[in-house]
Amino acid sequence: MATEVQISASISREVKELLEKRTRATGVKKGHLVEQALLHHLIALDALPDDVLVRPRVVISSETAAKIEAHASGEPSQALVALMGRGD
Amino acid sequence: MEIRLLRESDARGSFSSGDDDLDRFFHQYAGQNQFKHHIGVTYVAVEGTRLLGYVTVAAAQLDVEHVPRKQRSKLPQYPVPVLRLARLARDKSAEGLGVGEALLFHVLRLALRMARDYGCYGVLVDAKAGKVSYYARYDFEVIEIEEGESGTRPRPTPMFLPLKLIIAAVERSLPKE
Repeated sequence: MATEVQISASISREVKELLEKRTRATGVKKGHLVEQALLHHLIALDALPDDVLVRPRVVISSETAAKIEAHASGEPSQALVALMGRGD
Repeated sequence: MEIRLLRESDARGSFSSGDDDLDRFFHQYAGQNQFKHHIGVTYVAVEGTRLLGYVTVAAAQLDVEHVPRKQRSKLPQYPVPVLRLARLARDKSAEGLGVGEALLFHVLRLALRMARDYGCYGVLVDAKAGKVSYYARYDFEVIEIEEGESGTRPRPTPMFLPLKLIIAAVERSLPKE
């Protein structure tokens, strides 16, 4: 960041202790660590987690493909016929 | 009850299906999914401003893993387009109103429209635990997936409904002349 500004925030004593422990252990400046943590958090909030993504490519085996084909040549159930006949 | 596209102005925060995963997705990610990343679309069942349920769908493709020619099935050996029904939920307060059925009907009609406009071989649903028999009733069949399973946990059961059966059901439902 070209220009640095100061922010202030109240945080829990436990988090402050974790922050200080980390900066002591690594020698990284507290401000730098807070900025990096905030940045990571904001990026994470903006991204879609893996479990909510709908995967667009589905691979099936030849056996499963044959099972689908056999299923497709069958007759629709009464429940499906009733569902599709319900109108708008 | 009206089924329409999710709007950014829809108040999703109070929606509660009783399933934490389905609620978290609707509250936090359905909007991003649709309005920002454009990787899936959510339709909502509404009555006035009250959200009764939702269903999220996305276009996908079904690909048969490479096998020797003599072992191949009749399914084309290139990706075929399908509609993937990723999530369907109803608000607890809307029990007994037929919301799930209305949303499923809407999805099957979308598949028909997709088939007409740019191709669709069928509908793939990621059925939550306890919902397999619900979808089986409408001719969805449990299938095994080699790649591309849903990342949701607990792991849903993939089920498939071929478009041919949907078309046959529509034809059967028409009054006989």
